[in-house]
Amino acid sequence: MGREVTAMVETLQPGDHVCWTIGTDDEQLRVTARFITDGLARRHRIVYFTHSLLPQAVAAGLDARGVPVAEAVAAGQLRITSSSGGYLATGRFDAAAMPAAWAAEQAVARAAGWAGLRAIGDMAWAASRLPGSEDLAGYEARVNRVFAEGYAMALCLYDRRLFTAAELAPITAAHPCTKGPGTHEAGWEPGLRMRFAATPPRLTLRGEIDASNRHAVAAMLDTLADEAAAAGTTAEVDVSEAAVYDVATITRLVRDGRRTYRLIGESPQLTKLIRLLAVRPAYAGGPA
Amino acid sequence: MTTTGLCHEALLYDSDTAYCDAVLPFLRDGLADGDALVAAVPGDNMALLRDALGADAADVTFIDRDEWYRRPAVTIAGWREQLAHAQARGHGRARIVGEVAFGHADRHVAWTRYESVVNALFADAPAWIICPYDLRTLPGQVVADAHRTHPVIRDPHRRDSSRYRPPAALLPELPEPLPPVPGAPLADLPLHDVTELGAVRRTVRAIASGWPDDPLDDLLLVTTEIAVNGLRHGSGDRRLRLWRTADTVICEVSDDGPGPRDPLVGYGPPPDGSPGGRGLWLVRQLCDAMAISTTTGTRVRISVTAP
Repeated sequence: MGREVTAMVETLQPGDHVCWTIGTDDEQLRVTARFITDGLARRHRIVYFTHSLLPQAVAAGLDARGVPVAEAVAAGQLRITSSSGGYLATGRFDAAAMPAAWAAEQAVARAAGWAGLRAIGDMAWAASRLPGSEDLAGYEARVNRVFAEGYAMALCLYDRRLFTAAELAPITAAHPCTKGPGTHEAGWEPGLRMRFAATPPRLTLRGEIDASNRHAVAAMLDTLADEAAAAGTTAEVDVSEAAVYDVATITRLVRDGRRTYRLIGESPQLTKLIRLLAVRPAYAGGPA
Repeated sequence: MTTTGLCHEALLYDSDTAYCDAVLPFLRDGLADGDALVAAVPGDNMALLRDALGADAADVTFIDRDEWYRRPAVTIAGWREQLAHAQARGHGRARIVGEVAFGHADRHVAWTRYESVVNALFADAPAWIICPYDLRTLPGQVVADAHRTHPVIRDPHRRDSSRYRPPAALLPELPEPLPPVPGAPLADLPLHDVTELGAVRRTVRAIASGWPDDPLDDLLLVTTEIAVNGLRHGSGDRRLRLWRTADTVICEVSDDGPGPRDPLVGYGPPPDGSPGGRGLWLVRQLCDAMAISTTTGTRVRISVTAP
């Protein structure tokens, strides 16, 4: 694994939420060292929830890879904690409480004047079937709402030695982008960026939507529709810089029950697909 | 008149007279019954019918069959729309003259399969369809297959076809030939999981370089869909291969599994309200050809041609 691969992590920006699959502890430390170094330079606060490695081991490993750990911790810019001492302290994963916890963490970082918030989560605990972890994919999809505000960003580390491909599939799809084992290209950047504005409720999608991120998009569309309904307004989805290569997502945009989205910047291709998928078999007695 | 259930007949004709003797009474009776009338026929037969019907021709929706019969799944979607319109206008039944354009020899099986699929997808439709087969121009095999795809034959006497085979039996016996490819693929990629789809599309873009947005976007969507389909429903080694000729890109996704059990997969409309089941349907709408081979493992191959 060459230098270019860890350099990919520098393409991440506030608002991104990435599923980053790793194969070794060394890879984890090299990727996170680069992510943290980049964050320190950009005046971001960084919180690192470790699991398979002790916090001291992470600190030593980062230090050995050039991160000024002691200095950053002393300045309040870096915090390395064990997930079992943090959000898993109760012995279970409370998915429902997490978005509020992240929102609070974000508010504190903002109030302290940091330009952004970087979260690093070693998700190894989820492989041990901790109570609550069965809804992990649902949580990963819903928490997009927090990051999509564009201040915080998250690097979720999934160790391929601990999760099967079948276990990772729904988790992957809950993230707007994934750095998988087959991704080695220089020039890589997140396949999809989602940004959310509350007034008026608007979701901006940039990049490509396909089966690798459709659950993340679906959860954001649901949230958007709910918030727009609560505000008594129409949900807007800006797709002017997005390409949709997923039939399930197009179907959701046009046929999701009573919900309707106002699409901004719809391409002729998307218009064509929407028209095709909106065809309803309408004659009596016909097969469904 | 109101009926439920499909009547699907093949008319084997060898002269204008034989054609008119069968089709004109069919349409005139339909007028008398208050049925919707639609005729997708070649230009010369359209002229024959218009002349003979005179003022009544205004009550027939005429369609140029060379435009209508391009992609089987698109034609099926078009018939569903026609039936819905007929019902919306208050007609209890539609009478349809559907003269399939069988096209080049390599498309004959695709359209014979279409004729078979109609029996299943429109089984409950209030429609009476006559499909004229011109014995002067169509090859013997196409005409012979008409006996297997139509429950009723007129030649000119109307009778049940003794050789009729229901689609569930016929379709597996009549696999559509894979679209031809020019030699070795330009790309041959292993597929492991959906995180590789972006890289797949970058390869497709490189191979389709110079294409305008419209066919390129279709191509990117259908290659993504068949790759996802192979990953989700296939088993063992999955590979994606790409070929290009001057104006056509061919894409194949292979796996070691047995392939789809439903021989009608992708022909029917998307199930209402269900999020799944639309992928291959949309692929069939957007591709110039799509075929599934299950002789060794499963191969789904599509072709898209830039206009």
